[in-house]
Amino acid sequence: MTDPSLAPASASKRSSRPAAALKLLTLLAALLGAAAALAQVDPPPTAGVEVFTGAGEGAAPHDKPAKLTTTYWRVELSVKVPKSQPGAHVQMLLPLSDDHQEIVSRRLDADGFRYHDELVPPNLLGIWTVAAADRIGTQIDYDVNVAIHDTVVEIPKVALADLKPSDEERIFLQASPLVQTQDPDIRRKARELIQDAHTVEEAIWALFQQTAAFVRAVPGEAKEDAAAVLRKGSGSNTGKARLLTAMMRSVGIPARLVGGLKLEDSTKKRATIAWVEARIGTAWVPFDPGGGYFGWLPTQYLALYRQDLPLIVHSASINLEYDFLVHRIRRDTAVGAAPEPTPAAKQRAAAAPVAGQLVRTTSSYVERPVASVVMIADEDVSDEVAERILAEAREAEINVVLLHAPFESRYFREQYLQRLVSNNLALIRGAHVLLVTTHDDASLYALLTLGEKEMQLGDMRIVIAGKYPDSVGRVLGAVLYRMVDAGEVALVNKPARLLGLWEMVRANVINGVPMAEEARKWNITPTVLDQRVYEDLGWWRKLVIGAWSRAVRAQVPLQALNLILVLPVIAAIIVIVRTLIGIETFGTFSPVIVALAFLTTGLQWGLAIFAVIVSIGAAVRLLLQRARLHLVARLGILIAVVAAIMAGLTVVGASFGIGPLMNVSIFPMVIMSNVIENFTSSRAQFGTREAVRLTFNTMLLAAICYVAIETTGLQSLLLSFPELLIGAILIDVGLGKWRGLRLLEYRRFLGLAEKSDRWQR
Amino acid sequence: MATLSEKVRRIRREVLGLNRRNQQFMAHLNPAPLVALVDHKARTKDVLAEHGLPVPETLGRYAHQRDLPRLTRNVDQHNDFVLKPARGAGGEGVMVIAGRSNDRLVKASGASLHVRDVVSHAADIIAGAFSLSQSRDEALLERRLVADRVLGAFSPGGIPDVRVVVIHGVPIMAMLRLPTVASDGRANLHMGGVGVGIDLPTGRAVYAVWRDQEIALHPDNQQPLASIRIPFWSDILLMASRSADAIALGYFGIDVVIDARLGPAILEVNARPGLSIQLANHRGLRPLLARLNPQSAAGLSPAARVSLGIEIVEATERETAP
Ligand SMILES: Nc1ncnc2c1ncn2[C@@H]1O[C@H](COP(=O)(O)OP(=O)(O)OP(=O)(O)O)[C@@H](O)[C@H]1O
Repeated sequence: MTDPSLAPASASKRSSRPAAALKLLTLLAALLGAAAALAQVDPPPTAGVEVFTGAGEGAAPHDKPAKLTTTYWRVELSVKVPKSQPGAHVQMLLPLSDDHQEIVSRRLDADGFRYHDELVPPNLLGIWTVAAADRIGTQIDYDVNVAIHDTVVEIPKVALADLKPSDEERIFLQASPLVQTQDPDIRRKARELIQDAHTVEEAIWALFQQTAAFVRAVPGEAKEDAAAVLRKGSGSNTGKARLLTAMMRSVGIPARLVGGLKLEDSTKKRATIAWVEARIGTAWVPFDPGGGYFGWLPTQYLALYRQDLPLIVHSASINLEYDFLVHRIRRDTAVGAAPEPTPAAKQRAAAAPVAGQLVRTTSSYVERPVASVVMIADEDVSDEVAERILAEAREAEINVVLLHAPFESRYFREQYLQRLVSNNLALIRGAHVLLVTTHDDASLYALLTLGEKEMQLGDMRIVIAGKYPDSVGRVLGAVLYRMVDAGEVALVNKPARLLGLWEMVRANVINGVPMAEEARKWNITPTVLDQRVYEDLGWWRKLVIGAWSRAVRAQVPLQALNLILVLPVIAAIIVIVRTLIGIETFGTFSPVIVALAFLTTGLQWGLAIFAVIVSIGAAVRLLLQRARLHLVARLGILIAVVAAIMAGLTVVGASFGIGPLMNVSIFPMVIMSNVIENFTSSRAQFGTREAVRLTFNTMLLAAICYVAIETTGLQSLLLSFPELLIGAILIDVGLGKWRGLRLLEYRRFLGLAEKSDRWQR
Repeated sequence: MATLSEKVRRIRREVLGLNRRNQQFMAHLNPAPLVALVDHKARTKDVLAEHGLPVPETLGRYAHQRDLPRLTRNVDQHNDFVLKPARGAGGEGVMVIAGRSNDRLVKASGASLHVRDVVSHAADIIAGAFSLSQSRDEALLERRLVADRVLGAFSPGGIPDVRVVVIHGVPIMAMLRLPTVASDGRANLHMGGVGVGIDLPTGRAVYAVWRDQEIALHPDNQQPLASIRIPFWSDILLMASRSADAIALGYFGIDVVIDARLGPAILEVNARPGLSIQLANHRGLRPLLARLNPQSAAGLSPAARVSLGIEIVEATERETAP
């Protein structure tokens, strides 16, 4: 007999030691891959100079067509950009495929620009950046071939009383500066109009008639707001659409604006038109009060974007000119055009929200702001708090944008916050104060994207609130501070209520009250980081800060560095647990790797996934027993089985919208297969009980490591003080020489010290 | 009644734990090539046999699939035999054939099978189906041992074996392992075998544990364990001591089976003997080790080392006895 408590460990040690490094690398690659592949649910962007384009075209109401036709068009957008600085950019909302229109092909031509696009559901945002000083671009061309169908949408029969917008749909009820849902006149008028309506359709018809027939169509200004249109009794096409939207929303019908073009053969267009889409049941139904289309859209309507957004946003420094050239084309010409990947496929892939998260944006703008503030929070902010902040902001003439969403796993939070930041760069660039608050230390990383993009923030003040030790905040804050060259970085090193943080910022912005002073009233003590504080740091700390800054600039995510640095520490924890406590597991360091997987999925899901994979895998392995294959072949099969289980779980996750399940691929397949193999072999050697015990221990230790990393902010600590690794090594050295009994051995041998003695002869 | 802290102190003083065993004994006293040797049963037996130590006779070794026709011929020459992997562990893949009825072979468990089943089992062994880490292995055909009457009475379910722990060549502690119905015929304590502590000077049972708890009667047939006295005891101790000359491990255990006809034979040498032998003996190893001076054992003959082991045990007992 071999010593049972040693055998499984040593058996797996044989196979796992040389391969440990490889496994780690594989895991890291997987983690990084997952980070890169994180789907995108992006908040709507807003930015510097906005070009509103909806001047409008009037029309009379139309009957639904008897025969639905499809037409083909070529729409060529050309933008002339005067010579400008490298880094200047132009953002433009671009048409996507949907039920009504199909982008058959697209062609990009913009010499001297870097182009990329971002899907900001439901819109596609094209971004052109002036590339290099020696090749400054002046002309952007973006052409699409598109097939457009007459589209009649069956209006679901829903009683007005039954209309219950879901949480996601609620944002389509909110007020905005140009769509004043809360305006008393609009509310009263809408109420009055729908008095006799029973169904949603009847209600919309009443509101539609008012806007389409009784509001005079005039060529108007693009920024015409709903209240003004109602007051004047006349409005542009876009103004009418805003009024209809405002009235619908005020009576509880979720609605959004759609911006688009009305196509005519061989014309040059600048003006866009706008219509309305109402959410009824599961359908978005179009209503165009300006053009007179109720519940359907004609084949000449090309939708460019949804929601009340500017079509083009560009850097303040440039003055551009643009137009759309429209041609009617034949079907074969449209389809035969050189195929470019159409964004339709991309849209579908990104449509699933990350881990079921939804970002909410709340904002308030004033005519002539004294300052603008961007706040990013990882919590669900109550309407009450949001409203109070917005009201105070309006009063103080401050522009605020509040982006907030709750996140479950830390890993997502970091990824997500960074995305949130990089999608709102234009917004952030213009802010005077930028505030990020999370309930852990993720806030320290959220803004590093700004450094990665080499943004210089001049005199912007940055507030970073979260839970982290002061010393850690100083170092990681300094990394940010050095990179973006901000005015100052204030660190609030404990989770503070958003309202308190806002008051602190407000007092600072309006009255110039030092942040620290106002903060005291809210029981917040910020640490302010500026040049002086940085200078006071030791040479080694400066070296570390410099090193991490370089890493960030080179686009190495600090999370990856985190994982690398934290591994030796977890390994030391394992050494402690094994040699001092005596918990035996499968493979010395398997629990470490499994723990890293838990970091992505969260603990409960991680444990559940682990249990599912091991139990199904072990069942399959027992069936394999009869086949008597040798080890390598067995492992090969197990890896296939584990892969199949993981794929299955991913599909289940995708079908039911369970975020952590969609990321099972983070689980190290080889390690899981080894655990299964170890389970079966120790079951054969030492019995089922022992095998289950060891499996349980492996999970337990992984959970301990998870908790050690997740709750102690260990990762940030190591990033700030990498020299702590020497401590981990010292622990390893010390325990390597430790010969004392393990805690569990005391329990095991307790009987030996009992009073009863050997048998007397 | 001893208080908990007294108990803890006593355990700390007496019990040899895994940390100390791994560092002080396994790492220092057991060179890797020798550990690899004892992990290979066939080679171990060859070395032991060269030194005149009794081992179950090897009837054939089969390292390649092409050797299998030879296995078929060899099987025909014997009525009972054991086929096992040379580098197996935990008794996995061991096939014990107890006899024949008509054309078929009968396993110790009662199941009957055909010769070609034995051959395909050997093919599995060679392919490495039972080896934990190596992909290939060797199949070993070996004479079947039958438990002698005395100990056989205590283990209806399988063959009992005697484990002797030898340190610096000195046999220092021993236990008898009895398979039970619960342990599925295997003597492994973790599987539910009974561990009976043996008095080193006399070969008498002094204590017994089952599932880490003291027991007085065999759980299957209620035989009183205190009445056990190991036959051939002095031979067994001498075999243990001489094994250390054959294989120069500083810390190992031997598993001895007492065959009804041949008497004691070494079934296996183990370079990582477990520590529950201390529980079975109700004694820790450390007081014994404290008296065991490697230098003084070095020059001694095997028989003198047996005497030294007995002396150490007796001296320790005298000191700890009330
Ligand atoms: N020659 C034999 N005659 C009879 N039974 C045998 C023989 N060899 C092995 N066995 C039986 O098979 C069991 C396991 O054999 P062995 O000790 O050789 O294998 P192992 O894999 O090294 O097991 P362990 O590590 O638990 O000792 C023994 O306890 C015994 O019951």
